[in-house]
Amino acid sequence: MKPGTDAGRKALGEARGGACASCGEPYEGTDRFCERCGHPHACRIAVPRPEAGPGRCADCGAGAVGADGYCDQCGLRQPSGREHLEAELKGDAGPPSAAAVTDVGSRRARNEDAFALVALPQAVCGVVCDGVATAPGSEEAAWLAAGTAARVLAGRLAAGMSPHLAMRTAAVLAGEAVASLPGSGAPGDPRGRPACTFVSAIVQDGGVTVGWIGDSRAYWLAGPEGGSRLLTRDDSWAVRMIARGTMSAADAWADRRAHLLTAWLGTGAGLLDPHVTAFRPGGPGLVLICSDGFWNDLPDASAIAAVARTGTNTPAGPDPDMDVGADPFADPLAVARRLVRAALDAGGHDNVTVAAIPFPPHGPDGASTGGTEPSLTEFREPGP
Amino acid sequence: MTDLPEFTIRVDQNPYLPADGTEMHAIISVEARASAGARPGTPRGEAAEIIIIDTSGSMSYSGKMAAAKRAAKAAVGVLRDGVHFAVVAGANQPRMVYPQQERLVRAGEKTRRDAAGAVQRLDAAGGTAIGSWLRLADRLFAGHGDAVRHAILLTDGKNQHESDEELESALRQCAGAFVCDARGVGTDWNVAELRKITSALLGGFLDVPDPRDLEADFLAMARDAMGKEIADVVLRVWTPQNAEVGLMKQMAPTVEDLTGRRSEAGTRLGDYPLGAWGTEQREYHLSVTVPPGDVGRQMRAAWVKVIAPARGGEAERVLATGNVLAEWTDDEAKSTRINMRVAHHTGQAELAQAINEGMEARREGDEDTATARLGRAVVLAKRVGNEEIAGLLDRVVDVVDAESGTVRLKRDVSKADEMSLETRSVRTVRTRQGEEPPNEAGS
Repeated sequence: MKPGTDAGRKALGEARGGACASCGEPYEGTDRFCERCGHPHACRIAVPRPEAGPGRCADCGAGAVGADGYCDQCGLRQPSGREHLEAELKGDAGPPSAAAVTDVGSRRARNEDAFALVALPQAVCGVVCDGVATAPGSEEAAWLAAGTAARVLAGRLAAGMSPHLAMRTAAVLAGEAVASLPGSGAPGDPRGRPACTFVSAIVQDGGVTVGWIGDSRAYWLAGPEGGSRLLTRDDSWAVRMIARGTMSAADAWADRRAHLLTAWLGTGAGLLDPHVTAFRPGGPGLVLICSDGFWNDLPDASAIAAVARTGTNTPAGPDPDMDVGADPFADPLAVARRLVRAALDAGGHDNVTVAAIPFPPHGPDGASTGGTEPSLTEFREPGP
Repeated sequence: MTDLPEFTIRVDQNPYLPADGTEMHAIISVEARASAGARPGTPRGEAAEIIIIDTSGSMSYSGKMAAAKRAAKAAVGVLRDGVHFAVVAGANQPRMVYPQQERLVRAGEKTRRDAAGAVQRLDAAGGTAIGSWLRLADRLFAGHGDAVRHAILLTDGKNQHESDEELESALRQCAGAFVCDARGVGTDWNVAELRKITSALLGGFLDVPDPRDLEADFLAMARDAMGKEIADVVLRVWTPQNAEVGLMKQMAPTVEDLTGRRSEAGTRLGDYPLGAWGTEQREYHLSVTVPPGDVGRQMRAAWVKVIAPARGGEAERVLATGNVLAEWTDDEAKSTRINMRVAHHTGQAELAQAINEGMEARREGDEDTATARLGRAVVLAKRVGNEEIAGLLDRVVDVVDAESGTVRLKRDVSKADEMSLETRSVRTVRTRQGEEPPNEAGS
């Protein structure tokens, strides 16, 4: 089995045939873990990265592009390659395991969102991180956090760790990785330090485990019969005010401080205490994780589910390219594209990122995932 | 080598340009903090100081010569041990006061005492030929190229005993060789002349109408000079191809146009001389004209760097950098936003210009222009919060309405007040703390 993906292959820095998906060490035979880094082999992992070094300036054709993206001749900033990225994890046979799409949006100059996908025999995982725009270096922070979390999830789940503990470990190690990044501001000034949010889902036959820090969200999207719901509770000023009963939801969300984060990955975040919750779906559906650039314009779970199924949130207008009779969630890349398109059409003020994982999950060989069913005590109702 | 001060650059601007917009303005704040080497007891870099005292005949009136002697002795008294120094007397020709030979000596207990003795014996006689005085200073500084080189110039009269060409040529020769701060004592010197001299030599000047104030003033100036740790600093500005610097003006602590002082430092690179630095902060207004860009594109409109010169076999060093960015947008709310610091300094530059033009018109008897320009100055001084200038304007005009700038020219204005206003018109105030808009928050 070759590690790799179909869509977005050129953007994948870690997919190499016959080599460890994590460190590149070649392998053969039936080893379950890489000799060099311990990464599980029966695993596909997608951490999109832009092409290395933009090289020549596409505008003037003469200049070299510096590390900060500006041409040294004409001064124009060159695209980073992160403006729009897509990835799909798919085995040689069977339906795809997961897909993700990120887009810079129509107002922001750079895309500071990041995602990563993992497919294991026992679980399919997604990670979305959103760099804090006011902190320089947050673009790097988001990609570092997503990649770190994906590798930790892959390694720990393959080694048999419980999804709850694997999720906590992934969040904490991602946070440590971000905190280790150098800052650009004065020493000790947390405003100059890179920071990002974190949301992740581990989807198994037995259920869905969700972890988060910050205001990136996870949703359960169900069929037209209903049951779609938000699975996370934002670490944001507005949610804190509403939870305390200090303000009405309308007033809190209208406040200019509404989106201020109360928790994040990076320096100044204090002791990292990721929220981890779990959920056992009653039937087939799709787990969506997304940055606030997506849900700002489309917060309601039922509306999101309608868009995911049909490309529109009105029952009257399904996507004409869709096979109406088919399972609307069977193609997670198509779902992710529909959702991102809807958010961009609704404004696209911020970077938009979604990762979609169908339930029940399909492992890297296309088969349904096995894995140990988490004990029921791990499952509790997440807050709205 | 000794440690250099720590420099930081901060850029204030609105980076958004409308579609087809080509002019980008930014305020570059440069701050230097004393290095560890500035702590007492640790070695310092070399410094050289020359004190030039006008000893023309007019200095013997109104107690000016006695005050100048006290001031020069006070300045000599605060020279650090080891600083190379000399005292020069200026008349039709310059003359070494201390030491007697044409050279600098190291400051120490004995040399400071001997210099004070020599200053005490000075007599006032002869004319004023400042260019020739500066040329002597230039010769004295030769061989001290690695030191922080500073001269203090005191004069009480106009440069009558050499031609304008002679002064110009001396300034061309001395520019870059040393920094010179000047003081005009009494009311018979020429504001424009001292401005020309100190601008060329990257220094400042002030009026000292009352000779009794000279001693304290010299003391402060010499102490300030002793605080300088690095000489010949330059601001290097990179601009993109087909772009050009429209303006490079020091805006704080005083207005000083550096646009014409550019020297090419390579392709798309220009160097602007910043002189000598101790622990201090200065602000510069930079404007760059860039080629128009498409909506949504971003450009580096300028890359500014503070550069320490190559010294004693060591290559030049970049001490701090800052970026002036440009981004074209069709969002008018963004492109029309005015950066508060840019607005503040634009107001201060206009204030200095209004005073200049108003006082010039007043001298020429053009009362309408003088009234209009000085009225405008009253409005601007209030707007930017420059109370010193507002107070000086009050001595030259009667303010009828400060909001609209309605003023009447005063009939009896002392020469000292006139000169003070013209001299100090370029002294600016910094933007007040707390005026900055809050950063956008969120993720």
